Amino acid sequence: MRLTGAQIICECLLEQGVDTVFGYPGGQVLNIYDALYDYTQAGRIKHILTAHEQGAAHAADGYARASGKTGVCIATSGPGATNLVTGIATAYMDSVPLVAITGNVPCSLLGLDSFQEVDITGVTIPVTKHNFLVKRIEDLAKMLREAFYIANSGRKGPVLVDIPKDVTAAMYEYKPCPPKDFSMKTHMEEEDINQVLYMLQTSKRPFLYAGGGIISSGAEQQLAEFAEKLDAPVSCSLMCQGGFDQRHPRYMGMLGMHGTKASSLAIKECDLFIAVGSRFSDRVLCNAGNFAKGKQIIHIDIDPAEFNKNIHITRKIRGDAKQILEILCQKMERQSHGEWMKNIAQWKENYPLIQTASDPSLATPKEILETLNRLTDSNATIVTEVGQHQMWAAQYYTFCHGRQFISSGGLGTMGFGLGAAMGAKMACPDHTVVNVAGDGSFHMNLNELSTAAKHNIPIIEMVFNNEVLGMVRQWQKLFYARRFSQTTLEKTTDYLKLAEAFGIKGYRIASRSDIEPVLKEALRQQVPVLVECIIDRDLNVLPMVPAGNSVEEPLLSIDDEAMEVK
Amino acid sequence: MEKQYILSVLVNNHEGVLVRISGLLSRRFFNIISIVAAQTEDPAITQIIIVVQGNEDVIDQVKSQLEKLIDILHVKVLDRDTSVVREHLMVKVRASQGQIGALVDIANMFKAGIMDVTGDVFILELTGDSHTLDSFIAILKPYPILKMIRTGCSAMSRGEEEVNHKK
Repeated sequence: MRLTGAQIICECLLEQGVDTVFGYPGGQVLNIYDALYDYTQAGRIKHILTAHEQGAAHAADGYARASGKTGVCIATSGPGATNLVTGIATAYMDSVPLVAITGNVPCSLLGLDSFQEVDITGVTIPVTKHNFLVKRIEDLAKMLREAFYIANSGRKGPVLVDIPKDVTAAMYEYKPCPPKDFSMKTHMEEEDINQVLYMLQTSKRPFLYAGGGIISSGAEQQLAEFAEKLDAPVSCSLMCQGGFDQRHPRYMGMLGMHGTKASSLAIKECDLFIAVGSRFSDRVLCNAGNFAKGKQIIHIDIDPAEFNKNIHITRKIRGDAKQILEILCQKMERQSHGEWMKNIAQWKENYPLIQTASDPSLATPKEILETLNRLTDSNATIVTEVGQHQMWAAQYYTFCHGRQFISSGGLGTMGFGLGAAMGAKMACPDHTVVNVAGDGSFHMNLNELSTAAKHNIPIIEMVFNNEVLGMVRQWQKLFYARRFSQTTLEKTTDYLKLAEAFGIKGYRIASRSDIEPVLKEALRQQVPVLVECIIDRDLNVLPMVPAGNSVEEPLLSIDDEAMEVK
Repeated sequence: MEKQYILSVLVNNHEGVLVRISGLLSRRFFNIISIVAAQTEDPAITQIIIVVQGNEDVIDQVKSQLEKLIDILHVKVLDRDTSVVREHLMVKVRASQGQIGALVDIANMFKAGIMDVTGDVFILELTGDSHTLDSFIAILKPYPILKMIRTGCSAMSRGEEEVNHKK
């Protein structure tokens, strides 16, 4: 069948099972959008037109994180392409499968500083697994298929395909082709298994730590079974919220800069630390030099470049988390660590997460999130922006299954959440999707409220308004003698009027008594809504391990502390 | 212990592959002494030799990071003892009438070639291991060195151990 390049792109998307794309048209993608016209009209592909390309990239990312499928975004050349970059980098840091398609100027104009020309493959080399510049129509289908394969195989990540306009217009023979199998067969040598089993079976106080790899690999059940058989406590990174059922007594909470005191004590007292699908980010290690010092460390990961990168480990096991946990669980004898688990339970009881507002009439994020948790039966998809609210969402909502918590962990992208929430809702229309935002992050990409309104994507945009850039303010309190340089936002924005202006419903939680009625009302809506929550500006995210300090000694209060900048 | 390691890297001869490699090495702050790249007997494949300064952990990191690049087919850390390592040098020096004899003696001693004489300016070339090149340059110091180019190391392991292959 002879098709234009633009039609071949659409066919390749369908081949890969893509039903929804997020994008923004422009000069060099006119052909692509012209072809897409037929596919959207026929209901074969849904296109969500965002307000800004960055929103499209985050939406595709959120779609991928919520569904496990590949997210796809489309942008034109030049500024369209560069506007995707933050979104691509966000997906790269969190290993999210994403295919970004950009148009470029015709081949004859490449390299001549043509109008809206940018070397986007050059720009995105550091933030993609790979990228392609398709200069010949013959390569188009092959490269697109390869892009999907690369995005999904091994450690997942974004791939960009840059397509000059003349390639989208050229005609070529198209032959359908089923997607390549990207599953990975993990093989463990008998000797490696035995050595790891020995470590597991001789440990008296094992600590199981799970990262985002659990979710990418779909290993939630295997993790639970392994933890049970090993009789170990479990801590999860930010990227693994929901990877382990947080209602379970084994769960200790997060580990790292804003981890729980129980996790800190457990890492101090454990004799074996088992990390699965985690890259030992500096936000977890806090101080790489003394993290789990003197302990045996087993590191299970799909990416061999993560072994001994940030921390020295005792044993590495490379492969897919799900398969490795299955193998180990099958071969390991059932362990019992009654005394150790009793300690863990005691620590959890001694050090619960607490949050109190200076003004008792004000709602706290804890109360709001716990109420949201109750009203949604711990089943909502919680998306976040970046800052204090992000940590509070991770701490106070109870996540029970994978893909339920969607947040920019590695890059820490403020402005990520709204787009990602729309993508998540498109992927899982039956889920309640709430984007937990702060007033700082909200203002970065609030333009996408227009997208939610126009496409009627019924998400709840929950803005914790403390009129400050809370996380930076918290650091200024601790390290900069409370000199609040440029972090007192005090914007004049009227959130309810703003919501109305975008054509969505707005609500306000102004005091504690508003929490339940407002949330109930918001959850009942079948349209996008905004909920402004007025909160105390001096709440802190606690516990906190100041950068460079040992993860074993988190601060439980920072108001009376003053530290030197490291 | 910090030392220089030689990495033999086979890559697809695709546009921009050298940018991907050099970009990766620089953004992860690896200490690169030299990179040499050229086509192999198979025009679809390029051979790259990278000399990296670091300890064993650093080299493991360089290797595993490189292996993640899609266009990389094979990465091998070469052992200097079981490899032939050569580098090419061209050096331009000025020698007065009275210095020429000594210069020719030095060239002969190192089996260096004199490629050009223009007035009192000589271009010498030498191929050898890096250490020999260093000694040659040191002994040329009394002559003013006007310009110098070293190609960086190229290397090959002995015997049949390392043979080109596609991924």
